[in-house]
Amino acid sequence: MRLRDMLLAAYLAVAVLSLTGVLFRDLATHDGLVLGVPVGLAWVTGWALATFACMALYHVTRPERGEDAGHGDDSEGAR
Amino acid sequence: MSEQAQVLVVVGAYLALSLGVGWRAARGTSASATGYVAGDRSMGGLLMYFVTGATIFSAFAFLGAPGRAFSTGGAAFHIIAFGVIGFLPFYWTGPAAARLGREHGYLTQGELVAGQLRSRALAPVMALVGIVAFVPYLALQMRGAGLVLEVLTGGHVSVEVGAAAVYGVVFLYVWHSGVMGVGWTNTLQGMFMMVLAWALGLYLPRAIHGGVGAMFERMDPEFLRMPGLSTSGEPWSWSMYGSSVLVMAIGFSFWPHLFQKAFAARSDRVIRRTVVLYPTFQIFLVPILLIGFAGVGYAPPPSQPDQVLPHLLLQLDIPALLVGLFCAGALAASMSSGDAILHSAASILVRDGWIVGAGRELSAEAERTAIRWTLLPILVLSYVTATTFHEDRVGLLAYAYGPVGQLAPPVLAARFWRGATGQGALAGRVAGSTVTIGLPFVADLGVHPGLPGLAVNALAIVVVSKLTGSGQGSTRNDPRAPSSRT
Repeated sequence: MRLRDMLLAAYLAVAVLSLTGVLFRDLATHDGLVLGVPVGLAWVTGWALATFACMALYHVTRPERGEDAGHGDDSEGAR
Repeated sequence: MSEQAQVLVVVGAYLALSLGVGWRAARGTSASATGYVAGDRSMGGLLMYFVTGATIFSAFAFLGAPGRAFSTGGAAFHIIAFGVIGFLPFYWTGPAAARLGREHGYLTQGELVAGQLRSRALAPVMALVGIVAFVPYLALQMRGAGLVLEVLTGGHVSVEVGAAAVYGVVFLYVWHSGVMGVGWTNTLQGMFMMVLAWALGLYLPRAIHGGVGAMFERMDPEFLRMPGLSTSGEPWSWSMYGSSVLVMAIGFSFWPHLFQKAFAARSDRVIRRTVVLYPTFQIFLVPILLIGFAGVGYAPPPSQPDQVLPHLLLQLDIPALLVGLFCAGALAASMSSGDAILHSAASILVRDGWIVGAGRELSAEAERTAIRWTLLPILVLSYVTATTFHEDRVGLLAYAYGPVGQLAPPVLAARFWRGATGQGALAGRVAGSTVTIGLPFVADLGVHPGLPGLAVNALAIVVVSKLTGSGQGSTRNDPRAPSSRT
């Protein structure tokens, strides 16, 4: 497993546990507003932005495998 | 001209534009089933982004989601939470499915699973379960469209007439253009929805409370805190909140009409980029929730939470032109899901049920014709459901996600586990769905019933595959799999 795959797996594990309320529950349910919206709303929106950034980074660091329009490439994770 | 007439003129113009865009979309695609179902596997990044985004954001977005924020407070944040992670598996499953589609001619999820596991019986079973979830989901879209028209025209257009008119337009462009009609209208509708959502999401809190920050400052912090309230008004537990997010996230990318778009993409790169960009679509839900929160404390309150947005628009004495634009936006949300569901349901019934399941051969043209004619009974059945049953939107959507989430284990097993067999996948599918649907009638485990359903599903696949697996592995990738055709 490459480093980028391990980092993504770690990020996704934390994201899933956080978004389901297993991790950082106190942080997500803190009273008050962040940028004018409730902490919980800022929390899930922040995860959306962070996930976009993380996936974008994962995608652009993907090794080139000669894929082109109209053709696929070897699919990661496929057996 | 009366206000109702102005609203109808705006709605009429929107419907005409949708029909025009959808009708012209057929240009350049072949007359084959691959052209009609998968757009000759030619969809680029723009279409894929909007077809996947707008397809998921349905009538629920402008009615159910604001209603959820209005009535359940912090619980509504789960609507964003599950979408953040829900589409990510498609980064890997999408390109894998697309490659198999190109190799074997698959155009549906059921064909892929049946072909990979060499089990014809799987395709019609998956089709049947898909249709069971599709019909209420399509009915929900129709009813949403009809309700919006009825409320905003002051009852001049009934739910029945409104739903029939809107879905008459959907039928015409799906009939003529197939998936490319869905794709281009979804692009138009997606852009329209985004603009409208942000406009209303910022305008309503300002008009009613003086701004977004001022609106939240006035509210009880307890109401805004996750996990919020259940739809019945009781405090929601963290176990229900977390398991609901998890089940809906798992089911998200396995909705057959969404998964099917892997076969329409121009390349694997397009699929991956779409997944990367997808969380940005969740940002669109933020103003949707703001709309719902804007109704909290407003007097008089709406008769039902789902009516909060049209109720506020009527109460605030907004110009009819703007009300018409909102109405068109809500119809766009309904249509962008309804058209994809309708198209997918018809292609699944013909491909999975008739061709793979029954083993019938059809010419490319006959197949396209069969899919077109199948649109009609699905539309009629959904229309009857929409005008007969009045289930609430949140409940209906939650119901639909339960069985759909059970598609994940068989699809993943078919693609990524060499030991899986057709019998195992079938057993898992049936056992998982049975638990998901039946459990609420038997016991309350304090979690979304889809979660134990997924556990039973996976267990059944492993156990039954182990028991029936001898000699199966060698034929798994045989190109003579069922439906190895284009």
